[in-house]
Amino acid sequence: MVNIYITYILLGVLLPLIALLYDGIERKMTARIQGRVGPPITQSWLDFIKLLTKKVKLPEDTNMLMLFTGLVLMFAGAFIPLIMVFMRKGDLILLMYLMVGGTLGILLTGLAFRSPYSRVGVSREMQMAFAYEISFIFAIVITIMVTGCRTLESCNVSSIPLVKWPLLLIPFILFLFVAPAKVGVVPVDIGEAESEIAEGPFVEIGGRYLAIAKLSKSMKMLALMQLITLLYLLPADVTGIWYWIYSFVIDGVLVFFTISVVRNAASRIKIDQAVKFYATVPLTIGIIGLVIVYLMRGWGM
Amino acid sequence: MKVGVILKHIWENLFTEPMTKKFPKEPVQLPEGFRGRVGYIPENCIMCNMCVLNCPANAIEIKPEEDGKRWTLHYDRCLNCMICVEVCPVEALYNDDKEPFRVVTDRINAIETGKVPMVSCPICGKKVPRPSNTMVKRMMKEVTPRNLLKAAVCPQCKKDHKPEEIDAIIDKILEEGSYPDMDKLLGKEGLE
Amino acid sequence: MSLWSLLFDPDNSIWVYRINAGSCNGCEIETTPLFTPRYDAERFGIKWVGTPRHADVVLVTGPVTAVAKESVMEVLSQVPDPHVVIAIGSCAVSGGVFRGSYALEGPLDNLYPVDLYVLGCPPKPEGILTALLEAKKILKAKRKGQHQEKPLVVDPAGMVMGR
Repeated sequence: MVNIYITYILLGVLLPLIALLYDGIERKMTARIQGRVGPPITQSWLDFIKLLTKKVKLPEDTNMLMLFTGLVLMFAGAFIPLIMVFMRKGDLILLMYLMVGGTLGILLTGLAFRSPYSRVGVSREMQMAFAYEISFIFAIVITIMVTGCRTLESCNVSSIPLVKWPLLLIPFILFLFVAPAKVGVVPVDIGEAESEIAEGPFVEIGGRYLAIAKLSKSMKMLALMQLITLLYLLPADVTGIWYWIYSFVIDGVLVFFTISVVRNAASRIKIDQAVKFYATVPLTIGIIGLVIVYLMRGWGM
Repeated sequence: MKVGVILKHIWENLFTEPMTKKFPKEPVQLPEGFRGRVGYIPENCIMCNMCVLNCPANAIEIKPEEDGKRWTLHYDRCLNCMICVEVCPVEALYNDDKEPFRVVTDRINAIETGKVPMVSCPICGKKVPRPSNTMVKRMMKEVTPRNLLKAAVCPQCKKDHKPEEIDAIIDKILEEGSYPDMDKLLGKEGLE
Repeated sequence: MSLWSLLFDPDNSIWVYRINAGSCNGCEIETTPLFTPRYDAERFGIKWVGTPRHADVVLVTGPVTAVAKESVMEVLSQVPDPHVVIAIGSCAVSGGVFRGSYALEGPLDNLYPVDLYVLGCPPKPEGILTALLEAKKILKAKRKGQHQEKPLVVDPAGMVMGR
């Protein structure tokens, strides 16, 4: 019994640090792609510590209840999924709800201030959420229908026969479309645009509140990458320490391809273009995939 | 769609050295004719006030002191436009293009300064400003202690004595070594 | 870089915000290349932010014109402690060519305590980088509470001379 408690406490301390380390690795990769020397890998740790030493100066008419609720929701929506995926315990549908709760946290944080920048950021983030969450839901539903299970322990690609692996290609592609939007990376980080609306919902917070917000964003990225690795890139059923080592390496590669390369090859698109894209291409793929899987189940496969 | 071009660049950049300049470890590379700091040579200055009148930022001032006049450039107002360098008739200012910027915490003391002292006439002892090296070079072709002493003779004495008498007095002074302001005349002290 | 400075030193992460108080944009053109591949400032941990509430270091360019004075003072009051203000270019330091004009509310010294001055018109990006690296030491002293502010010096004619 004690072992489990110690494991969870250790994870609670180490996982945020590992998430920030991945954020630093992503920054270094972006810098090398652009042809410059980047910051050291531990730069995100230093940012976090520095944010904790600054005194906070919020505007006077901030709604503190909304701010705190939003921050707690954001943190919970990123931290609990990370632990669930790491320890491979829990329900897939619960994971989906928690991650959507994280987005709700961002919206609440933005609505606590009266600044027009944060209001515009909140409205754009809501529109983006409507656009990509449907594809996310389709991906998870197709995975559950193909593998036939709902928990994270057994719900991965190694639990189904080799013949059915191409069927899981559809949710994998859907996840690759959704990942930049959920994490908030350049072609589609419209809710938190740095230069257009002065960082959107986070324009007026500073100090330790901003530290929690940035930490939640990094943990969300790591949780999403781990989820993709667990569900679609695990050819044999390994558990324990080998699984952790394997998943960290694959996470690095995935971060490179889905976040760094995409971020440097594209510029930010407008909100109507983004919604139009997400409401046509991934949605069509999702519907086609669902129909195919349903028909195959109907034929007894 | 030019996706292929972008991906090719990304792949190349990953395997070549970054193009960043290693600034604090390497010195700054300046192009030719860069306009840097303005340098002042008090040995050449004749205090004509051309630089004071032509500076667009009013950054130069010349003030009399108890032993001569002092030239000051307030570097926190200077724009490095080099108008004073072009306008100076005796080449007392030059473009010292080694310093492209300056970071200070105290802007009142960011000044360049120099002084032209008074020396005494070798014949009658009246105080005259120190003769400029440029003018001595132009008039007498060479800057030697003898020429400097000749240029330091005051106008009244030039009227009263003949040129051969002045030469004789100066030769005698150089032999005896009895001129009190020799250091200031040669530019070894009194010019900061 | 030692292990302390890589892992725990909060002065190795500096977030910069820029204010244009009526400048001719020459100094803006010299500040922008700091975050491009040629003069990479990110290798020292310096990052650009879009709002003053996240900033550690504020770069001010331009003499503070009468039209811009109110906005500049309001934005400067929103920067959280501890912070460092750097005046860039000879206009922000002393008014430059425009000193004494009717449209100026004085160089930044008259209105707000400035910690570092970068002289030049405009200074090269390496100069601004040097100032940002100097600002690390001032930030460290301010965090410990050991920084002393110098008093304003006014000359007999009533014109502010600096600190």
